[in-house]
Amino acid sequence: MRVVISLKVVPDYEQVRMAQGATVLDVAQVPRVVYTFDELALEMALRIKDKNAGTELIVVSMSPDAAKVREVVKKALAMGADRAVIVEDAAFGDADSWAQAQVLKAVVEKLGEVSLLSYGIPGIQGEAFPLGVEVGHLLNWPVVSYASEMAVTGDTVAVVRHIEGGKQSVDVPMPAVVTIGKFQADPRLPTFKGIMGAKNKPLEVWSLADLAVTPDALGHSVRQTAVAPPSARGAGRKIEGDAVDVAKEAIASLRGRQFV
Amino acid sequence: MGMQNRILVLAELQDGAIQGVTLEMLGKARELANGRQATVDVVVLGANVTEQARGLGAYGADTVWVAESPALADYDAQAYAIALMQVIGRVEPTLFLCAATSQGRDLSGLVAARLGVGVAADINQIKDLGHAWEVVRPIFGGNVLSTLQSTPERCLIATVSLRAFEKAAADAGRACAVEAVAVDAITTRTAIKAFAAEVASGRLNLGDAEVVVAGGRGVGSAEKFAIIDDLGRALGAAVGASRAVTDAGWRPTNEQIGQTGVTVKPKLYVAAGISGAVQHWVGMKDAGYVVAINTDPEAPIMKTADLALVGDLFKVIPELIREIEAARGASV
Repeated sequence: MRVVISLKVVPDYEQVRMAQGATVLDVAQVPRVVYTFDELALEMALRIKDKNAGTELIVVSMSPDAAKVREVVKKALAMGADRAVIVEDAAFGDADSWAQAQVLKAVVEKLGEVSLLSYGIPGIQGEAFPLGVEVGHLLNWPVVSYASEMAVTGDTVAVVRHIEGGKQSVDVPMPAVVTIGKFQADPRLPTFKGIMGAKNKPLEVWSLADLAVTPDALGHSVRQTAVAPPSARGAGRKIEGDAVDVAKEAIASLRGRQFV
Repeated sequence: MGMQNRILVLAELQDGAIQGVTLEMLGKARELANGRQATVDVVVLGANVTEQARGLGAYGADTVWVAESPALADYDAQAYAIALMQVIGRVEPTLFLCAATSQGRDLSGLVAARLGVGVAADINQIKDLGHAWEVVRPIFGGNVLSTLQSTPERCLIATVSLRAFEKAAADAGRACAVEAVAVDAITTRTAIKAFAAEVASGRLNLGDAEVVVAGGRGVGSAEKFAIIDDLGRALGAAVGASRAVTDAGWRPTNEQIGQTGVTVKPKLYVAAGISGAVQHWVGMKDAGYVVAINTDPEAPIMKTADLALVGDLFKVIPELIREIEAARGASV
């Protein structure tokens, strides 16, 4: 069974800050990290590989500069992935999800015989548009989103979706796209053996020309016209002292706001 | 696809009931439509929804499109998308709004893929520029607000943050047209096996709660967490926990507030024994008023809380409860 995981490398949102009054956002210097939910998808896929002998796990990452994602895919290889593909093109600098979806579809078709494509649910990392279910449509594969658990039996993936109100259990035939949501696990650390072994695993860099995806296809349907910091949520009031006094003052404040 | 001067709203249902966010989107859609002589269309998908759908006329819908079938009783991306695309093809909206929920994000994405456009996610503002739409949405975990403008000739698809807009007011005298959507040809490749509802008995739903109390690692143990429940009861609050607490098994994972847990947007949020790491903050940063209780005045949450109470939660909380009850007694 061939499983493909797409890993996005994004600016670490925790370190993205705009000063009050700033109108320009430059994330060039912000350290890059793997998008949290993509990393969870990778861990989920590695667990499937652990339980299903013969699974080939391929990680894919798209970037304007292969060097920027090389360490990320190498780490994935060290964690247990079998093969890595980096798709490199300047157009990825600010492509929207429609563009990324088209490229991912082309990658899956070029790899061939893929049973499962997975990555994280759309997120908060600042991509122009969220990459979510679009690829499923392009591939004409069923899509199941917000997976918190996944198990493969034969040609079927059993998915538990953790959504508003509860957990939905769904069976879907492969090939399928499954996006990962609240998978409460910690991605494994690469072992020394894994890191050594990764050096011998295939890591290829493809261009859009290799995929027969033309730059014209990478269009934009909206454009960003401004950025601004949110209004400052500065420090509030600190109350210390004897618990009785602290409570009195706190409740007086909450009463003033009609919370009590 | 052509484009008409029509705004389409996808009704958000849970357990067969139309959710409040639908009225929020309707309110905004009506306001925008009035500004440009457009019509407001709403699409409702489900099993027994016609009566509820009809009721949306009172909230500003001009036409409600109902796709009603037992096959749509449970949410299924593929099946819902087929029904939805029929409506999209008939309405040809200039603006399509979905709730920023798992359903809304899926379906907006599936429609976007069919139309060849992207999706503006989690918007909390929208303006009509005449020739285009302008929206604002948070990016980088809310650390930046990004303004986007749509392409004039293309439909803008957006998912709307919950509680970003005011609910539409009801006008009982207002009626709407109801159009039935053909559902016979809907098939799906996914099989829904089960749904395990998570609203624990007697507990308020965290995601919707107006008041939330949460406990963190500082509480110390599963047994001691009872003090957080006590405060929750006193405030009429839903009770949540930080990831450290759910990881430790003191509370079930569905009570975790944070990036990989529930996002809450209450009017009042009380955090006890929580340090306030970013992953937690992301789950509650839109709270109206934040009160933090911690022995460490330098804990991240203490620096951004509206009210930072420095002290031992096991001493402070019983006093808070005493004060709340005294206040209640005084006003009775």
